[in-house]
Amino acid sequence: MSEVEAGTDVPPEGEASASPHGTSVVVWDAPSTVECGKTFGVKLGVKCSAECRPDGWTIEVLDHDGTVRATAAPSDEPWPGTTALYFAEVELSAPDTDGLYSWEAKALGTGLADDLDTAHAECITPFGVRVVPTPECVLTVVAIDMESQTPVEGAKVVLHPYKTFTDERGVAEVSVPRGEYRLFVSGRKHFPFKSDCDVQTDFTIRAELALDLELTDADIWS
Amino acid sequence: MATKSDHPGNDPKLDNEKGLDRREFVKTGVAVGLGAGGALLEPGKADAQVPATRAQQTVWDYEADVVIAGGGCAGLTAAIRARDLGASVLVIDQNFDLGGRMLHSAARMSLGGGDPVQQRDIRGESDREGLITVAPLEDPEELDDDVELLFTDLTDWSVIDPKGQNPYRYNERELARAWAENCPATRQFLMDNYVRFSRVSSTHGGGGLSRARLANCFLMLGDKTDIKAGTVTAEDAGVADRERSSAFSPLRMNNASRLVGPNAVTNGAALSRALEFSAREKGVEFMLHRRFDEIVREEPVAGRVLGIKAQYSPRQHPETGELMQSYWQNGNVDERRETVNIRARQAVILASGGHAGNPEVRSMFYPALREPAFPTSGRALLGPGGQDASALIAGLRVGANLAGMQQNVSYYTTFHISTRLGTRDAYTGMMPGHPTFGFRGSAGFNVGSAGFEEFIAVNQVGKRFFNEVRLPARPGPSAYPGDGGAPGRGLAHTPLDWRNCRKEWVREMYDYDHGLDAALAMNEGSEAPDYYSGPIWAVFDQDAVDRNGWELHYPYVADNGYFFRADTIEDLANRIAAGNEFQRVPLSYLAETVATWNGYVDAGADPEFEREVDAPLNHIATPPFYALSIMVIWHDSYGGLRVNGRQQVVDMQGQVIPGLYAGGEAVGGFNKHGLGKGHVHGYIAGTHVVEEPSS
Repeated sequence: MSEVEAGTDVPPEGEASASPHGTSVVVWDAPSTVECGKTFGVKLGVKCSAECRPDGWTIEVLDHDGTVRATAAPSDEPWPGTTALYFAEVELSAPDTDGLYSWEAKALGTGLADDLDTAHAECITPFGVRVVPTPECVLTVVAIDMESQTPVEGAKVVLHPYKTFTDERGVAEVSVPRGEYRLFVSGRKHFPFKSDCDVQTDFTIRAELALDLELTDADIWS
Repeated sequence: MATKSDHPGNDPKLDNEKGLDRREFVKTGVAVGLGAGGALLEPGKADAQVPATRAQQTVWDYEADVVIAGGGCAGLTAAIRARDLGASVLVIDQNFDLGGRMLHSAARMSLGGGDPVQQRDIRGESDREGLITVAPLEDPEELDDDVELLFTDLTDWSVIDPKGQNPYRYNERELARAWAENCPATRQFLMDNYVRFSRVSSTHGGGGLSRARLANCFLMLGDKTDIKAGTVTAEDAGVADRERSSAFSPLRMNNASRLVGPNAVTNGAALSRALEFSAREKGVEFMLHRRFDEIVREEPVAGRVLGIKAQYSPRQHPETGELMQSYWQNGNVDERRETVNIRARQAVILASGGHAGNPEVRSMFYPALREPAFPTSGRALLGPGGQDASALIAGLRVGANLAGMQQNVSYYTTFHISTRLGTRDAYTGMMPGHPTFGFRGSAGFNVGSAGFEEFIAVNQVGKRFFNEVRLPARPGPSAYPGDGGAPGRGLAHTPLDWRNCRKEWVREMYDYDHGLDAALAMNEGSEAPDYYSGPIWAVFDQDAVDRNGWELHYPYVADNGYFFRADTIEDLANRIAAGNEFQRVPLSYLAETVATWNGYVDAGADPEFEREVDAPLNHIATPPFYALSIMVIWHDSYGGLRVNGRQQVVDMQGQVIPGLYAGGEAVGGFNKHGLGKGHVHGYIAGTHVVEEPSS
């Protein structure tokens, strides 16, 4: 995300401002990986520093070559939990070749500010699109609390760039191409379990997670 | 409100024979209207019995045999001890309530030398009330202790800790000897004053490694809070509601079933309230809201100490504005004049704490910690006068020497980064219900050490400065050659053995990340002359909240300048800059830092701090966005006034300053963490002050 530096947001009374309002563009919910040629969705948000409504605004997604891949108009209502971040959801197609691509979301500064004859600055935010080949193996992770030997639900499973979470059984399946990975299983108040894996076939790994107990005085001062 | 004078089960009555009465309190002058035991000399009347010129210029407003500055662990113990030996005692404290740092402690007290609880556990007996129902936790050989071994431990030159520092090498030997000799008597004394000790378990920082010497103070959950019976209600213990503290105990009491048996709870309230109850019962008098700031000596740096001057330091309730009231009030002297002079017929005891709350003083040891954004532990409870170096400053003015100042930086966890975020007062777990919670504003949100993988940490200009995952790491427990011995972990440690500090061994056990030091480093926002490093912030997104189930609501966080939420990162930076009192510069780099970070996540590598070695990386992308303050904490003080084995303050010529004693964190030369230091100092001082001539 980025913000175009703008001048004074609110001009002195009786004067028209020569500077556009600052704007920010936010990109989220992009998948950590997308297979070559597949479609995927992202959310795009735009915000004016003076919290103008986005009437007439558009947001474009440009790929690594500068080609416009999608155009959308922001919603009438702000994203839940925000005061003035107006959003849109778009569907995109991934390139046919794997790799990490740098794309951009651009808010077009053609809108007018509420009650002010003031333009909004154009704003561009880059985001990464990780395109991966078709997976070949399934790694099954079973996350267990080391102390209680019970499943850990909601543990984060990461084999960069692949990410998922364990289910109520403490199980997560990650489909990946053959290769070497560093596996992390962590979260939900547990310290990361770490293992370097050479994935050549389907297999299961049991991850015993150490609970992050609050430090006792003995831990601190003994 | 804190007022609990009619608290069920606690009706300490002043013993009129032992308590301070007007005749005893005032030898000269005309007493005018004060509460029980207090005495006021008519303004303008000098005390003709005091011979020195300084005294002739001083109009005494109060007097007692023993005047104690500070009602914490050292002060309360000294007060009871001196009172037991027949002295009239007046304790002043800058806070509205008694207990000082002891009240929010964990009540872990390492003494030893063959003390009564070690002996009890060796015999396998319960306590005298039969409250302890669990078997001893340590083997008898780990409890087999004596004064000589304890003294050896306290002065062991060979011990190096996991941070590569020397906890015992520089201890004052006379002080350590006196402390060791008085440990058994102090343990018994405390038990005779309503303090209940659990089974002995392990040891405590600075208390020696060779034996198990640590016991917790406890109460039992019951239908009413009754110090005599040793019970506390669930509400007063703070265990009835996890979001509510009580006026009795600012912190939630901890489960002590492992150490005592079912329904036992422990923390500083079990110790502090017990001693306070006993002191009030025995007739010790208290003047609260009164900050000591000057020692009156016959001559500026010569002659006897005659008394103290103290300023009114009212603490007003943060919401009602009313003068805050102590939990119990019997024995309180309600004095509201700006300045009063208090004469000590026999001695003054300085027990007003250390200097961790005074950024100017602590900067002598770590200049970066002049930064006032980071307060000492328990600031809300203690108030702005807590740990303010008052004893050290006043002592220096009358010629006192200092000791062990370098030991401030030789206790390996004295300063650390808290895992409790979103509050300036990040050391304690105080919740609403205690009257000082409003000073805190929010309880903070404890993400634990593991939670640090969920965010990036940035400095005052919005730049990352360290591998976040390693920021809260503290050195591991002390371990020594052989089986890594220390009580509870084996007994192979051999005192005074050169192998303890053999460099190969020290290299092997060294365990310290310098995240704290990086947090305090200068940055683009550091400006002359102080070059403050500024606040530090945990920055994360809604995804982090959702995947961890974090409860970002009151009382954990509040709109008080230590928690921010915004639609975009740019908004977040602006809100922090506008809303935090110590944020002196804009977070100009924050948006760029987050964008760079998200690029690292895409790439799976953090080239700046190699975080991918320790934990997975997470995007910061989903709105809204959050910032929680991260606090650097200087917990306690180790340097201070030089005292001898009787706790008498010594001047720069090596001579005792007559009539002046000190203990606890006001004292240097003894690198002992925690309560044991203060209580034994108080016991020694209280014993010897009554031997002073009465003027």
